Amino acid sequence: MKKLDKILLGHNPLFGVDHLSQAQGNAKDQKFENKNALTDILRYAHSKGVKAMMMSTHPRAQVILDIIEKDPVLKDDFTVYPLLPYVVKYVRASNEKGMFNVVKDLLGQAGTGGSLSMFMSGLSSLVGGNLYKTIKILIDIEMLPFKNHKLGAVFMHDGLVDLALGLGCDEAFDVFRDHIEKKYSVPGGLITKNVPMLVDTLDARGWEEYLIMAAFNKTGFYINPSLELTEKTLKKPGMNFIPMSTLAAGAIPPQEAFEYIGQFPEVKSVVVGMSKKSHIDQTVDLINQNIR
Amino acid sequence: MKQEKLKIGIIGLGRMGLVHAAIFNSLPESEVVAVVDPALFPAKPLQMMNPKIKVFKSIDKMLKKMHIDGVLIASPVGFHIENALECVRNNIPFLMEKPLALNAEQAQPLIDELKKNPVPNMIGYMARNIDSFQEGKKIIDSGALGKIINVKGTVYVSQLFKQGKGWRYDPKISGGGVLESQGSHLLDLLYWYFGPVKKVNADILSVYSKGIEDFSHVVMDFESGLKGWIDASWSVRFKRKMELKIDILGENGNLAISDDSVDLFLDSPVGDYKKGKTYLSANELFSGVHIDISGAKFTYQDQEFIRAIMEKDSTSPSIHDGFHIQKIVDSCYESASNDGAPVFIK
Repeated sequence: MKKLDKILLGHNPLFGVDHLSQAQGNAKDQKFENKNALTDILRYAHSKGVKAMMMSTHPRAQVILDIIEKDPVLKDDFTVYPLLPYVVKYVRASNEKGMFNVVKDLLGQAGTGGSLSMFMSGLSSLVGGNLYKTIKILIDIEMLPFKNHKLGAVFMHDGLVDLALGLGCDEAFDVFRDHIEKKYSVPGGLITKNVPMLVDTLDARGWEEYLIMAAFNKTGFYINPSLELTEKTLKKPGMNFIPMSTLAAGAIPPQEAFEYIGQFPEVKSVVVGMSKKSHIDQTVDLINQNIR
Repeated sequence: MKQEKLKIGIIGLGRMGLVHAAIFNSLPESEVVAVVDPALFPAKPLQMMNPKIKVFKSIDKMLKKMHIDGVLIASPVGFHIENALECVRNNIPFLMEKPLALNAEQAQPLIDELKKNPVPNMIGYMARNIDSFQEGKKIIDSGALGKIINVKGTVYVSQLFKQGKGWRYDPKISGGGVLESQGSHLLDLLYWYFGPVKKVNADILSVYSKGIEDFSHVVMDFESGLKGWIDASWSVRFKRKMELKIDILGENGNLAISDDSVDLFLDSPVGDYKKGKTYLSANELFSGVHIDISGAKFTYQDQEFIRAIMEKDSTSPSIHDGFHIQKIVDSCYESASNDGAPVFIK
């Protein structure tokens, strides 16, 4: 697998999401409504060697993508790792108008952002029951905002990965990975809350190499079914693992957190949310000391 | 010999139907063999990707064609009772998404049928399975707080800032607004903690919705003599996810429970609980589950239902518990329509 950036800036703080405290998330959300604050933090991160960011198609992603595209330094030297789809948006919409209409409306967006043929092809595959073709077109529609950007890898959101995993729809993982690799020439990765179960499923499908992103920290926070089993799974041959929630939502001091992560040579990249310059300074130093 | 897995049927393949289907299909003791949904999407694509799952247009057709050990009912609220009655008449255990029904009157035939044929049954008030609220229950039951003086609860989410679309916002199918939808989680937690409610005074307000409430405030008297109030709205800002909070004032201290923390203060130590402040964060409360899809609370809930089927046992919370919550909600609407006059739970 191609080498990925060592440090990926996480999108949550910049999008106002804090899994431990909605109040803190809201404070960050208000701060980064200001485009200058976003530009400032992206440029600072870049100056410290953080030249990549993971992001979903949250409404604020477009603002960030515009900043990167127009910035004289960032535009040629910043890699984006899209995360598809932005599940919250679809959950809200499908509660209102049903899932079929959500997919139909989404295909309609291709008419404006993509091309008429994409829309027609998507609609005919949806109506005709060509499921995998529909999935590929939906991926392409979600990828439209990223078309002028340098890509590192593309990830499927855990909301969808874990649903497909539980429902036994695991062929969707092959379809996703193969389409991303073929069309976008980057690895297709999976985000999950259930690493051991996912890897067992991929093994049964004959996968020999995996790109997986998941919560990983020494306290076992957000890790299912157990830290012990997840550690064991990480050591499998062919594993490319990107940890997130490394600080366990602030419960582990950064030094301790990255020393722990550093014990796993399978970890070559890490995703970490950073919204303050002092935090960037400290985190970058610690990651460079502990992850080779 | 390896024991055969319990065969689960899913009624209604909306978001909650999908989440439960994914959990039941991956638990070691169960598998999903059928889904019932009159809409072809997403049922047909699901069947294409997992051919072991058969799709039916009605519960009746599913039960005629398949052997089913348990059913998950996640249809729109207005259809809950007819689906559940079909299960009871066929001796099939069921787990029903909350709330129980459009109103208690609609639910009465199910209660009567269950008295005659008490198949394992459960209602989906999943907040009981959130780690922090479980811990809260232990503290309250320990008596550490001393005599409870009063209790207040809030539930807020940023969901609706214009007229909503879909069945949730149509009172003929949903039965009500935020009080019936999210407020009932809070009512269930307080009922679980402090027992049945005797009387309510309620006030509701519709700002964005027609015929259902966006804001509700309820003053309640429990049968135990305890008094409390709740406030619920789906139209407050900066609540990305539903946020439940309960504050309890006791003679020996305070307890504040939220979705991801437990904050206890005691004047004097009681049993394992020390004097002063004890704070448990999401991190300390977390424990891994077999599979996490949209939160461990749903996994715990589905495991409890599987246990009830295997042991032919009752569950927490049962349909009977859901019936009490439904009567509280109905009484709140009655009170609100009479300018907040007190209404006794029948």
